[in-house]
Amino acid sequence: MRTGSPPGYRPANPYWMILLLLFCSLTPRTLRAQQFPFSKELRFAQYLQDKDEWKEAIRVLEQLDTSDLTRDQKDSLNYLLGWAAYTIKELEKAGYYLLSVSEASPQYYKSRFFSAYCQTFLGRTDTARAILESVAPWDSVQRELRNLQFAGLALLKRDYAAWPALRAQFTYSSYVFSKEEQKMEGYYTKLSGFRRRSPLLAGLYSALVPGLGKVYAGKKKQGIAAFLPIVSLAALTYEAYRKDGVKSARFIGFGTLFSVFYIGNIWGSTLAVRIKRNEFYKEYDNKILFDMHIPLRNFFN
Amino acid sequence: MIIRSFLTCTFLCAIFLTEAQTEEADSLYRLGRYFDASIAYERVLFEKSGSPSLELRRPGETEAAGSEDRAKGPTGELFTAIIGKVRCLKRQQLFDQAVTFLNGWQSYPFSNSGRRELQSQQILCTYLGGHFENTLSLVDRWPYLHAGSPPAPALVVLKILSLNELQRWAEAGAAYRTFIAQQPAMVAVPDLYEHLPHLKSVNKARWLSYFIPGGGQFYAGKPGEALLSVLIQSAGIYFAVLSWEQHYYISAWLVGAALFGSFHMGGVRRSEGLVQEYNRKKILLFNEQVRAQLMGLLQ
Repeated sequence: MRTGSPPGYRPANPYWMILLLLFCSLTPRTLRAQQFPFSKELRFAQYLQDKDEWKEAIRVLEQLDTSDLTRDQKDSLNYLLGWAAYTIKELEKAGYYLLSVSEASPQYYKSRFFSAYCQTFLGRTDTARAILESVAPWDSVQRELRNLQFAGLALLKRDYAAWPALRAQFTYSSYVFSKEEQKMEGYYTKLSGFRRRSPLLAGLYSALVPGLGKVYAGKKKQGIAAFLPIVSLAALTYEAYRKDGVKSARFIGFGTLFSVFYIGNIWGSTLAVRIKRNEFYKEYDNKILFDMHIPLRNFFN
Repeated sequence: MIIRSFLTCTFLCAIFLTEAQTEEADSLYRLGRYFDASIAYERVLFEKSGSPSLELRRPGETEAAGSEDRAKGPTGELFTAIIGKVRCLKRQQLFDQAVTFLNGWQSYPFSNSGRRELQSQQILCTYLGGHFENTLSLVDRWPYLHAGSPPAPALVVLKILSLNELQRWAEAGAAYRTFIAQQPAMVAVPDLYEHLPHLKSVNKARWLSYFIPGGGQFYAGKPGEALLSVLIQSAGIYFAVLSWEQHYYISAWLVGAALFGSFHMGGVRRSEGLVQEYNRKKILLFNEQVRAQLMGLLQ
């Protein structure tokens, strides 16, 4: 006698069972799941990436249903998505997906470093620092690479106080980033030695000699370009004053024009100081970002 | 028995799913979702290009009859997917991407008609991408790649249009006349190359403007602008002379002479720009006339 079967139980017809199984397997969701299983979709996305169709690869991967995926599969998915987004410079998306790669993944370190770089590029230096601090480097080279990233972040934040401690950890021994370490030192020297000019002084100089404030701010051509029309207008105003007097229309007209240009130039000189400073910082920020990026590519690729 | 039935069922499902993918791509295309349709066509290519029955074959090897011929010919799924993807890329104005994509399929052993169709598409996309020299080069390579099969009339038209864009009028005219002569309706078609667009000289406009204020603008076909230029420059000179006579020497130089000088030099630059614009419009109009006529003939 069989145990566990109610009295009168008859096993189902095997043909009906197969038909039922086939029917269940053809419901829309499972049909799709069978049609596009995860590994196949991943291969398809990689195939698209190999053909430089990054946007298409992102679309394919983002359409995947992640609810039934294992952690490894999710890691692979997040890494591929993050890398594709990074390649086409969608850094917001890249930073998010790369940060989602778990520690168990073989791509964990690469994902963390690049996620931090994405945040750095987006101007979120604190977030980038926090991401890098969450990484426990596995060897001295990776530790030094992380230190180089910290050094770059310190320079981007103009945190010169942190520099000596970071600089002390440079060994210049790894071919992967020894050049970049030297360059960072150069950037530190340039940035810390940058003479901050006073907008007030620039305005004062332009009040004394039109255009001199712009020359002081570091914009020589603009200074000369400002000097010529203002001096011309001053000469015209003087001529009108000498020949027709203060109340003449000619004097009032040229005098007004001269005043507008003269005051405008003083205001422009104060702004020129800030513009020049921003240009200088922007130039070095780009250099720092570039030299933070190259070692990452060399090390992880 | 059950296993055999299951395997048969699976095989039929696989065929059904591949066809469903092509249908899905087609329906996405019809809905105007060209980006998604492009991915769907690429999926078909991904599935089909890895299929054992479609592996690369050396030239001279015998082709098996049946499904392989169907797949390699212009009606096969692989071919349909390639053409579908190219259509999607064209709709998205990604002509250069379409050319690169088609390049990747150059060595695939399609049937002769399939290869011809793919190269036609490549030439069209190259032209639409604005690479006229490359278009000419591709059209010229046609006889070597497809011996015994002359290029389609549409490709000859593309060659003529490319020559036009490059302003190689003599060659364009010769190709045009040969093409027209081959058309049955040649009697009713006027020869557009009898009256090539008359282009104006930028140098002449510049020198005219140097010596005759407003002369360059007048030459460029803008009498209104020429008159305005004359008036402003005259006003500058008048103000300078008047101020000088009244002993306003600074005003004479800094207002009168400066006004004249700046408008004079501005007039020279303006006349150059106007002539370039005039020439561009003339060429555009001529090319448009040629294109319209040739398209009419093709239809």
